[in-house]
Amino acid sequence: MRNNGMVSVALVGLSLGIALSIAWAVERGETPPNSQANHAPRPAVSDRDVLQIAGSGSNLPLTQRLLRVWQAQSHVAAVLHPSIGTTGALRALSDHAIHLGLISRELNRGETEGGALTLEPYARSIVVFAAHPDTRDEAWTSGDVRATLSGHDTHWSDGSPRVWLMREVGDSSHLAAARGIAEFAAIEQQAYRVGRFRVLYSDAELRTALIATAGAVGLTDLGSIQIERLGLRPLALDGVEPTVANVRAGRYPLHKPLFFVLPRTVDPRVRQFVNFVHSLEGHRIIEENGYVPMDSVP
Amino acid sequence: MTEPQEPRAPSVSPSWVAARLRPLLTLFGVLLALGAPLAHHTVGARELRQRCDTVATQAAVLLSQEAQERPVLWRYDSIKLLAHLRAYRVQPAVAWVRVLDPVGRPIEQRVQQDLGPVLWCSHEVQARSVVVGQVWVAMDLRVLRRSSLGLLALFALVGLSLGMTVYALVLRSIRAAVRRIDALVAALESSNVSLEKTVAHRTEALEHALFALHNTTARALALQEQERRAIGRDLHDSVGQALTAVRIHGQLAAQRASADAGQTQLLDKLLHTTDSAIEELRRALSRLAPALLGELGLVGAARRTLDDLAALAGLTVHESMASELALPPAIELVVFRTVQECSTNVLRHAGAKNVWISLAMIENSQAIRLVFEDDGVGVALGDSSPARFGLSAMRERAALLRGKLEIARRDEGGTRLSLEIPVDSVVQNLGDGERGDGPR
Repeated sequence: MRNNGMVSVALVGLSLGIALSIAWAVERGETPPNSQANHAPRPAVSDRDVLQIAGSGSNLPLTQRLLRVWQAQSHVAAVLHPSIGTTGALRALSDHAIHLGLISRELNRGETEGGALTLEPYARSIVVFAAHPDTRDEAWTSGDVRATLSGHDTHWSDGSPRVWLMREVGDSSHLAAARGIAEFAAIEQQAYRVGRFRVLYSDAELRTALIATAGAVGLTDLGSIQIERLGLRPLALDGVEPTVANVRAGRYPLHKPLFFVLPRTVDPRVRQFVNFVHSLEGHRIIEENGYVPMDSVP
Repeated sequence: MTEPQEPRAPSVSPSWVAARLRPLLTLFGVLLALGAPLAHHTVGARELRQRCDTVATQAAVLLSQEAQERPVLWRYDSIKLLAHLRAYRVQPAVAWVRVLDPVGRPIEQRVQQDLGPVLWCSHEVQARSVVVGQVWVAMDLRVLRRSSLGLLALFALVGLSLGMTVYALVLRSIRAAVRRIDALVAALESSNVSLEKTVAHRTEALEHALFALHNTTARALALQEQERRAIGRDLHDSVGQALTAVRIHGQLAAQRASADAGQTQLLDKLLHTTDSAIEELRRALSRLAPALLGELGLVGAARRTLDDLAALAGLTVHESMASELALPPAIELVVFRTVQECSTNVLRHAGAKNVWISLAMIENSQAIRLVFEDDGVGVALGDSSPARFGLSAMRERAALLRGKLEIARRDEGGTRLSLEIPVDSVVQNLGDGERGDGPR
């Protein structure tokens, strides 16, 4: 009897052991090297003679205009790379992969690299709710925004469906809207959480989607619509048109700063370009393209 | 001091079966419980790995395009690209996507969260045929493990239920079978006891009947011999005396009629015929009532008979007979009659040159054995000659005393006869005092 009991226990143990071994074997596979502490080394800048500029997509249209005029005068070779985002710009600058970074939001506490990076605001971008070109509505209210974002209002005034397109969490335009519209942040948070709307991960993608999607509406900046002549319809908010004058007057609440990010050691060509942006000519170009010029902040 | 116990045959009892059934059913239950979940887990892991490879390939292709267009800055946008991939939740089970440089250091500075149990796979990021990074995708194993464990619990329950059901059914059947077997054994034992009693009773009755039969047979034999002796005595006293008187008177007549040659010749023929008749009568009397047996005993009478045979047939007798044999008269008579019959057959039919006879008690056995052999023409087994009838009579006589008589042809030619008669208490007391004391 006792022997049979031991045999049973041994059989159960053996079977479980074999089963666990098989389960372990089928789950087993290659694993990534464990080098969490040491991130990849800084890449070598491909061409240090050419001024390398990169950053947020919000900065690119205006900066492209400014750079083109400055290059015509200074004959400095420069490349403005496609968007790598604010975070990417900070890292690239930190790695000396670029000479000048472009960002469209304030830095978080952990992003200043211990004071090694310097922010220089150079313009204020007017954030607008841009609708598909065929949309008949030209204005809406903060209430409409909240109702749309919360999923309660899904149609334009003519009865056509309204398609809300979002940028990812932390996008500077959405941060500007959160500052200017009550309860926007909380409602948007919920929309992200439940996956209520389609999310796009760059300004270029968002603008393309707005043009391509009938009834679409989303947050972008007025300057890029003008510079790139996208044909999108910027909506007035609570009866206020998104214009440079209304922003300057404080009537239109949605806007965001555009910054240069400078490393501790600034390339003279960079300094020359920044100075150009802060010049009267620079301000003129900024304003002509739908942005509000800002004085340099030391 | 204990005596060594005899090995006992294993008995199949319900507890014996249960003790052996439990490990088997345990194994069955465990295999049943583990089989399906294990298969599910294996297939699920394989599917997860395929999906993982798909995601890794997809991410690597995307990043490779970026790296192709922006050899240096692609990595700074990779974070957003990967966030894009994660947010779209291409595969719900994707737990993490990370990018490492060619030597395995993370490009992304995000702190990796505790992923729990995951299954990793990777794909290279290439730009202009140069490996610039590696995408690692982690697939969450928790859902698969939970479903496998759920199946395990379910099948364990099924296995346990099945095992217990089989266990209970088998034991119930065995208990019922054992009860029936016990009942059958009890009935068989009871029947056996009754049968044994019946057999013993019948055996006893049979033995009594057999004893009575032998008794009767022996008495019949004895009476037959008595009757033969009486006939012999009468023949001896009447015919014998008459022939003797004829012989004497014939001889006297021959002496007185010596002058007449014709009468003398007739009287000589008369004397010769009378002598032949007396001799024939003597032999007949000897067959009817062997007086030799009474006078010389079995061995002596047999030897005399054989001497007569040798003289009449002109053959050589080789004998080997025990000097003293204390046998019941009935047996002595049967043995002697057999010797007489064999001698007669040899004289009449065999044409033998030699005869061999042995007579002795069989060693370690209460039986007398007679062996009679000759080198003559041999007996034809199955024929219907008078000799055959004589042999049948010998066999019947032996059978009456529970003896056995066998006749066979010798390999070297001739006949071999073997007679065995048990000397037991049944015939020991039969025929006492009836030994032949026939006419002298």
